[in-house]
Amino acid sequence: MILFAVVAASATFVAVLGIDYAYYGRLVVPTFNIFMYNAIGNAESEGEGGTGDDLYGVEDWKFYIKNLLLNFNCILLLAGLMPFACIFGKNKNKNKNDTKTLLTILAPGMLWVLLTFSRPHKEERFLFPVYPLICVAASITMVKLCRNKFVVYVLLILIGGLSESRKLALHKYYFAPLSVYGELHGVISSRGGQGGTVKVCVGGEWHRFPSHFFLPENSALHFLKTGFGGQLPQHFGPGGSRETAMQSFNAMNREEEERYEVGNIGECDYVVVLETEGDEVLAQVEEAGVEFERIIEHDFLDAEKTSALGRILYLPYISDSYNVYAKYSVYERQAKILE
Amino acid sequence: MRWKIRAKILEHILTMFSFSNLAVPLAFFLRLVQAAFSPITDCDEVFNYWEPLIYIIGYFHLLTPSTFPIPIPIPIPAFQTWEYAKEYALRTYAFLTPLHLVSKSILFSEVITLHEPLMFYGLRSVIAAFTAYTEVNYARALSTRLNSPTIFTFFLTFSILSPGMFHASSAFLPSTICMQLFLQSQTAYLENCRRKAIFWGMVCILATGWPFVGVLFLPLGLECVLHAYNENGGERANFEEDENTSHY
Repeated sequence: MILFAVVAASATFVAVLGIDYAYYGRLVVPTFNIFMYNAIGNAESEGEGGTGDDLYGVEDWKFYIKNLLLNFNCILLLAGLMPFACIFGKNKNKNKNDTKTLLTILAPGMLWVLLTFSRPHKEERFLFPVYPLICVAASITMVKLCRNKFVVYVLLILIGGLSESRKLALHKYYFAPLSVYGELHGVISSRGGQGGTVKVCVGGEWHRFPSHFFLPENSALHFLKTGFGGQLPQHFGPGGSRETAMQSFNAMNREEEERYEVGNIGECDYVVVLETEGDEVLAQVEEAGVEFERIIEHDFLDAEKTSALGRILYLPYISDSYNVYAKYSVYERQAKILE
Repeated sequence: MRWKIRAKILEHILTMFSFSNLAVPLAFFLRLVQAAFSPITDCDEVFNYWEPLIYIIGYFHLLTPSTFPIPIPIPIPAFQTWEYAKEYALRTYAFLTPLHLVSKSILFSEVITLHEPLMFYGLRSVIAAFTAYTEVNYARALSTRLNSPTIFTFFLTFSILSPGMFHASSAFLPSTICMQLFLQSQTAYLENCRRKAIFWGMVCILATGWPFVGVLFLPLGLECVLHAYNENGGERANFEEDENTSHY
């Protein structure tokens, strides 16, 4: 078995090494690099005092508790009750093997919680791998504790209601970018190519861009300069990661001025903007006046103007009268017709 | 060879569906529906994974023998983050390769072109379907091992209802793929196939570019070592250190 483990590890390692050699053009082990980057910190940060782990924001442990409650509501509470359920619940099938199995299955969850809660940089996705274990713990509680069918149904309805309301909220409040770019794809394709690439510009909303799958071949996304002072991605060169020329990257999340290939909003064919008060790009669009016309709009939650409860859950018919939505829209430059 | 593999996959799926009449197809259906409706919650998903995937798909489209290894110099509209710079090399392309192969398969390459939202939803559905596959297998293995059919139902119900899995089931992130591989590994352990469990663990640690998940497999490693120790009457006890630390 140990020999097998070593063989499996080496085989995977060699395969991954081969793939990365093909793309990077040199022998690299990114898995090792990212481990060093997070655990020890990168060379550039020496003296500036930051490791990779706290360069992108630091949160305390309450962040994860809030996140888990939002994502699992009563399921999380049931999962927390599991130890009690195992002690006081019905012990129909109590044997040593089951306890050992459960321990082997659920111990990774505890280790993972210890690891992630103790790291300074926290993100919702870091907990993804243990999500199923929460469901396992909750279902064990259900099996052991709930002999009464009535209680089971009430719990299931409660969980179902809360969860579906939350999922509806997520879709209703935050799906706009996908719909907007989906429609924009149709618009750009139907207009055909006017020679050269179509420039779609985005300012503060760059981080909700749903990828170039949503832009036809003859178009590309460009960034407009806004108050965001971090490092933006850049378009791949033809050689991809093999290229060292024409790359300007840093490991410290410092702003790179070369990313703003479009200096003036007048160069853009389309501008994507979330219309909130004081948005820099919106102000520029309005300044340009008749040149730009809004062609697509969808509702996106205005989180600052909506109450906490309104942000968390969505109730059909009721929520819409309390929540405030901003327009997630696309403006098209009209002057093109005159050229 | 190709047909043999396909027949095997089909057979596998059919046996899975026959386990329960309604629950399994329902689980797949609901996962796919959720994949169509869930927003992208993390900009890393786009800029660190979807965009480089577009790049490598486009790269192979433009690659010709005469210009190898650099393709025809038409810019491929896709973003590169600093993690993919030659100098830093923090992300592995091995993570993108499976989905690249899927996109190349007949299902997509001849029906849908690269720059189409449908391609995005198609690939996302593949991730969601694989999540459903791992979940169903896991639920079945768990309920068989613990001898409790109700666990099958409860686990799948909770998993499919929870808003957490709504995000997690269809995201193209190492976190999601690690979750799937972790479930595969645990399923294999529950079915007493320790070798398979170790294999999935190794893939998860070494091929997804997220080495910290090694922590998730420590209990499994320990269990396997204890198992080997009991079977061999104590001879191999001194290998314990090796197995738990070799992959760091």
